[in-house]
Amino acid sequence: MFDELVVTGGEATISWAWHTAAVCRSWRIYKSRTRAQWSLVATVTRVDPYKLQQRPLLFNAPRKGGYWCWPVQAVTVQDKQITAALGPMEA
Amino acid sequence: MPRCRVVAPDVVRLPLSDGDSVTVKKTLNAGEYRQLIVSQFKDTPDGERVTLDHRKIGMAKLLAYIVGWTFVGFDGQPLPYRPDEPDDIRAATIDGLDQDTYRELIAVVTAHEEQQEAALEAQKKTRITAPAS
Repeated sequence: MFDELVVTGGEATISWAWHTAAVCRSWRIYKSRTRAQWSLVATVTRVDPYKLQQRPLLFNAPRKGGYWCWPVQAVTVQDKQITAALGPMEA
Repeated sequence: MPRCRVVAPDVVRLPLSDGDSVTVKKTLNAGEYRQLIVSQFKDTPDGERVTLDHRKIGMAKLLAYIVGWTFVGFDGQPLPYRPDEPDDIRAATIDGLDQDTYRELIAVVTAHEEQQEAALEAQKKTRITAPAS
């Protein structure tokens, strides 16, 4: 069992159903053993503020053969940086 | 209260033969509708008359509406299909299905589209005839 887990990647998206609410790059996800939440920090390259306000949102990170997906519980965008609290990974 | 004119991304699951189902968008928004119309026409050089490409009609409709399905591949694992994948990748996946399945998809999606158009028309009439409050 890990104490801390950090996952990083290149391009990823935040989606509202099949709509793209934001496109991110250089994303970094942090998870500690003591907290249920995952936290995301990324640089945002494109954002649709209206769609980003909708729920449910999913953070989708591409992997070989598919995607890792996390539900977005809260999200803020400031100065091209997006931060979000994520729920447990779905797939 | 003003009417919200944004299309909510609601989905509908349509049953198919052999216990399968396909999940489709309940209603297309303006951009999706426009894309559906445009993608049914032949690419022609500027200035030439625009013509409908009959080979594209069915596929354009499936690409516009389908967001998922219960189909599996040779290995019994879910056959991947994501609505946010590029059109050519999704079209290639649909092209890999057997002909009966393709025809069945066209039939159920067309029926769904007609049902939604009728429902939207009925809603419009209700709005027009409703007394102002």
